[in-house]
Amino acid sequence: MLIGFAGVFILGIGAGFLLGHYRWLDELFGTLAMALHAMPGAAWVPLAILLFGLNEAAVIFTILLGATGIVMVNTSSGIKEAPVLLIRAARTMGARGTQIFWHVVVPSAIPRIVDGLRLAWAFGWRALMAGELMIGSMRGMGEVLNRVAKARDLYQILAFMAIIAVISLAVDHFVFRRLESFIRLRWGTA
Amino acid sequence: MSVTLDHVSKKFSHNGSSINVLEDLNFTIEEGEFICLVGPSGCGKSTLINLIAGLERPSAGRLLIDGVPAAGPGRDRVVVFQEAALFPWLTVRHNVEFGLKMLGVPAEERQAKSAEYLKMVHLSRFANFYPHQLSGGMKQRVAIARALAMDPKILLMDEPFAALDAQTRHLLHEELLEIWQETHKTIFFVTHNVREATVLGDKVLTISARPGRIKRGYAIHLPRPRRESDPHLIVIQQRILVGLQEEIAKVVKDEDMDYLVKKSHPVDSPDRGVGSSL
Repeated sequence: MLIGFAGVFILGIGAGFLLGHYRWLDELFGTLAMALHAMPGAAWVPLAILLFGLNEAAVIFTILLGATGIVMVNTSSGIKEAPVLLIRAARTMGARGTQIFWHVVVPSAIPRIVDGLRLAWAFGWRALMAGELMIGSMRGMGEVLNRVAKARDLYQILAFMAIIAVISLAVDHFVFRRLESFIRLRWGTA
Repeated sequence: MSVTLDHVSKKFSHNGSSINVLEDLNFTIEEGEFICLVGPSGCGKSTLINLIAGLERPSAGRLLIDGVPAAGPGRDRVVVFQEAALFPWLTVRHNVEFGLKMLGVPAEERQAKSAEYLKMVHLSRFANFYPHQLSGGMKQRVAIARALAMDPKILLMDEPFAALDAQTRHLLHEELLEIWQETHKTIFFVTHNVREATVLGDKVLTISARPGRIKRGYAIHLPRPRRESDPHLIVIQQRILVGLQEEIAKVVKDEDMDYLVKKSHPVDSPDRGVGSSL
């Protein structure tokens, strides 16, 4: 999951920067990014198995494709919506192309990017579960859930589901909520 | 540094039709002058600021800085915008240091500069605040400090105090005049407020409604600080207002607000004879 999310982070933000900055790229791939974003993570599992076999790589692939879209879409729209006034202010103070991008455009997009990452966490978590459940030949929460399901043990199934929910909520609460409230404070956005 | 506009025009084209925003502007801003430009809304005042700042290019004519054609924006001409345009993710101090950082000025020197200019606008105590924690007037003062930190030759001010309440505006007028007298910067100040223009400027230029042309110039040789209620000033204000009246009428007609004119009283007509028959 961590590897998968790191991949989502890098690919999503990187691609989002490119799409947000170069209009021609956005025209070419923008719809593709939207399509990627619209696709449920679980739908990638069969393709992942076909490409990578029944192993961890397939799960990472699923997470990557399930969660990158939202980060990309959010990052690129954050970049595109950078306030013209701030860019003008920076230009009159002598800032040039790349300086403006890194010191004005990117910081102004940070709240949107963090929004995207938070959603990506939820999407990625779902993709992870779907992948592990369907691939099932490796160690992981999904595999355990599969095992107890086969044993037809209702209480264990429910207990594991609860654990899955709690982990997801805990990360959301302790990582993303905190990050978001910090950013709200810094950026002064309500 | 002098800024000369030589037959400068600006057109915007939109959906195939083009609009003449500014037409054939010719004037010079001399070093050390405080010039105010007054005109009705929508007459291209902000466009003019953007042209001088180099954020936009003239459609015709030339913009000369010390006799040399200007290319693009430069930090010799910094703009203070109506909305302070501070970076919300930076503290007050880092906002003031922004331009210096872009230049690669070392941190210590930057800090000394920001401390100096924050002191000048009386905001030293707020150096570590974020912009959203400040009032409108304070934000504008930060914007002024930020512009001054670039040590520009000319300060371009685009209705910087328009969004402030009257008291705050009055205080900022005094502060700006102090700064002007202390730093001897050239200031080009755009406003729709005739009183503001006469209180501040050495010269007041009026601009006509679209297409914007310079209508007239008024020299104001009154010592500062000036009081808005100074009778000499009021006479000048009246003259300027009468000159602008027909321009405002044009805007009103343009924007389909004629019905308002019939109802309203000509408050600014010169021959109401207030006080003359006592």
